[in-house]
Amino acid sequence: MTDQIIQVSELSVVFETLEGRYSALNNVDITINESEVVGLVGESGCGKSTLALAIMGLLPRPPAKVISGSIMFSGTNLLRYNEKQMEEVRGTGISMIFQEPLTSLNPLFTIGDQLSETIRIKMQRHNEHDARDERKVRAEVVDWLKRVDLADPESAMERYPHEWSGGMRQRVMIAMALAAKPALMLADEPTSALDVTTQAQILRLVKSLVQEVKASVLFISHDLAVVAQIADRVAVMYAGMVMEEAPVNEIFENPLHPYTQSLMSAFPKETGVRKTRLETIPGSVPNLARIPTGCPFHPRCKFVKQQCSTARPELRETSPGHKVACVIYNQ
Amino acid sequence: MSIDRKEIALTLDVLRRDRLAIGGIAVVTLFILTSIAVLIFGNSLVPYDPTVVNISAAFQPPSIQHLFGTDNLGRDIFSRCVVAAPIDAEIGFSIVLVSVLIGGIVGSWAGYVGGKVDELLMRITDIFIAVPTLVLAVAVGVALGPGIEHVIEANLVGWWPVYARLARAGALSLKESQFIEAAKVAGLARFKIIIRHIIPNNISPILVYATLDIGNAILYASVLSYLGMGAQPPQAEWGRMVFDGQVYLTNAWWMSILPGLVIFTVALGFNLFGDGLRDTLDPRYRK
Amino acid sequence: MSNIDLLRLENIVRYFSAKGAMFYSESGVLETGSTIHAVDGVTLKIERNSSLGIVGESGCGKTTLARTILMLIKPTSGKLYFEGREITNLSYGELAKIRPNLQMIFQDPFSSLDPRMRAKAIIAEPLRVVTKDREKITERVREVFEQVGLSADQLNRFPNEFSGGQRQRIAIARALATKPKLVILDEPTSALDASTQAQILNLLLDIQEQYEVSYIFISHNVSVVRHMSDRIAVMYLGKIVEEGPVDELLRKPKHPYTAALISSIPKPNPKTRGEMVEIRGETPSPVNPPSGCRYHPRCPYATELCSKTEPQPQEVENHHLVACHYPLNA
Repeated sequence: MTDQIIQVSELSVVFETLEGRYSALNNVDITINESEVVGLVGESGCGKSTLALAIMGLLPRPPAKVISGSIMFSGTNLLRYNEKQMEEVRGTGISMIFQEPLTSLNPLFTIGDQLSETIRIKMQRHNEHDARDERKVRAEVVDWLKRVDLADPESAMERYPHEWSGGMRQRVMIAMALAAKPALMLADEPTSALDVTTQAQILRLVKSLVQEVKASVLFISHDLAVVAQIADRVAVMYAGMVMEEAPVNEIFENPLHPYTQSLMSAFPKETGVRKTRLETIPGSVPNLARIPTGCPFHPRCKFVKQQCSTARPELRETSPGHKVACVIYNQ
Repeated sequence: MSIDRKEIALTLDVLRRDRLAIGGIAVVTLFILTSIAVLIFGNSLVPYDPTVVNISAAFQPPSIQHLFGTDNLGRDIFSRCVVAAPIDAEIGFSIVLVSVLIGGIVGSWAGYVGGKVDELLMRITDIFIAVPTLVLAVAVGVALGPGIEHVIEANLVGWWPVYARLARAGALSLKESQFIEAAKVAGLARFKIIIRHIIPNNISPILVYATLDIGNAILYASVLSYLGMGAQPPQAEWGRMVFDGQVYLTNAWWMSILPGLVIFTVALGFNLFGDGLRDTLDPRYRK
Repeated sequence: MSNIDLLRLENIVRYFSAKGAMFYSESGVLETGSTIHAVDGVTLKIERNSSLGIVGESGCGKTTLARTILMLIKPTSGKLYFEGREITNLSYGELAKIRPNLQMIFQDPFSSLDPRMRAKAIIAEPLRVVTKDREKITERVREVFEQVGLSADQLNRFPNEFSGGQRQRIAIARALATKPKLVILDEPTSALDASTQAQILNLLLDIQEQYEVSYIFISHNVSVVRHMSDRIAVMYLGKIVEEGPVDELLRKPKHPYTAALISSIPKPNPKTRGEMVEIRGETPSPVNPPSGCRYHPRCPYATELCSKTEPQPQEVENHHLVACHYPLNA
């Protein structure tokens, strides 16, 4: 039994705004094990980013409010930590990369400076005595820049974030996220803003580095195909709930939840007849302020039954490692 | 141009929380209502006839019978202040309204069309912005002679360029929007695009600035009146009253100070209202 | 049926001068230059009732090309023909007469509709340029609104009262109001959810059948373009590197860039891991394009010839053109 790095249990988060109460997360359970890449898939507004922010302690509270649940990491519930304690966790415990690196890198400091800071913090926390040795820190910075395929790391260090293209900035972000050797890295749509050729490079990079550093990853994306390329396990979210969870091969070969099935068929295929109608799900993703009762997917589900509008389905295991939240599998 | 109900509800909601803005709105509403009332009911609205001279009642300090006291000719200052309201209302609103119209159209055109038209406009507005508005207004006012219309015109000359700049800035940022491109693709003529798309989407910043500005316009009008232009005696006018009472400052301070306070309060009211409006339209305050 | 192409582009070039323009070079570093070679010699034609897909990554010039076709900007050089007639140098007013036939659907459903106009006014706008008959306009607006799957009682609403997918439907209705012969779609579904995207693509296919309209479908998403088009043109740094029938081009690409592009696309099939062929370096910027063949710095098959001489498009198979000195699968 591999170690659990992080365990989210029954997490519910709401946002109270002028326009109403948004239920961003509704009793979400998710576990990430050691050296595992978990892909979290869902369309916009399903709560996947909220989950990441909740784990990192970056939810703006107010208007966000955690109304139940726990996030267990290294034996403590992160939800009980204050800001100072969370700061200790971030970087070396859990790190995060975002979709738009330009907003996460400080424009006033060179990338060498920013990476050095991360490495120094790591050294301090791991009680490595080299933290004050500038040459050692610098050497590690250069090493990391090489690892992320940044050409000519020595001069790269002296450059500022705006001097780099999107793909390069993302590499720097990855270096910063992994240089602190975290147990878990959260990646929130890290390739969505990149060209497809750059995306391919970044995905390969993430895969190999994560194995080297032995970190686990929560890879969030709206793109099933990207997740297929990088994840070991996949969880599918809809309107704040986890609908299905399974090992990656299993979920693509045998998707059980009606939503997962529709998601898979909604994409134009590589092969097959062109210019034919795609199978669509009627209606659209619900507004989080007005989530349907019972199973949030029931108004759009073609297998809908009487009980779907009243009872919220539980996430149950149908076969080893494969969990579904749908009444049709409850036999 | 159409107004969105949800946006108004949200605006009112945020505005409600801003006490200073509410104070400003209250003052502005009082001012406007008073002006309208005076235009309808005339002198019968006030306790004392503002023009009747009554030397025996001169220099009375503020009391229950004379809220603001009386002046050197025995006239009730409170009544004169009330009756003077529509004059400054007319001046303030006229200056700003006409400036918005001229500046708005010229600026939107320059911003959208760009090129030489824009260059020309910018040079012209540069000239006007460089000259201090008050100096310009006084110079023009002196040249035109006394009278309220002349006060309005004198101020107008230096007033519209700011709105032209505002409108131009808005047009510049809007003209790259996709819906403007869509209008071009639809084949719309340039001036139609400006009138139907650019101007309606640019109203907010101009509205905010205009609201703040009415207070300023009233201040400027008062200064010109203080200097002797604008309303002529025996017509009551706040700025003029401040000037007239100056000589008696040591023994009858209420003659200058109280009308001055009225000017200040009304101008401040518009300022606070405008501030509040700007804050509510700021998207940060909505979430 | 006439043999004249609906639209023809002859060697369209569009440069932007930007003194001190900043750009990212192939190594991903910021440098400065002065001319952006956004579109650098594009020759294309589109026939009636057909679909052409244009695929490319950032900096390839596809958006500038779209704007040039719509005559929102004039080409620096080259000629544009619509239904056989040259339109390159027409005035704003003369162009307005052609516009009912040539419409566009933009990428962002949130900014392509005027937030201060009601849905019915938005759709009526292109019609008002063509006719003053109020009744006809109202009738047509209602007709096309329902055709795109929206209910007529929503005509009085403002854009912010609609979802992203619905707004895109309004944009489609606006584009179709005048029954155009050609519609350019610039990433029409990129800002939408997967399920909404599928609905919109279906709608676009239905409409094409109904109206017999031609599409130029621009996207960075190859699968979507494949789904919607008969032919594909691949753009790189302002040039078309390959053009041909969709299935053939995607199954057996002839240009190394096309091959790399296709293999970079992640497939929703975990068993295909490890099949992605990686491309070297970053996408260079059009401010300082490489000499000779623009792709040569990143091409695994490049020779000295490639760095010196620019390859001209040659027809390697039936209606399949490629601009490469050493085409693959030839």
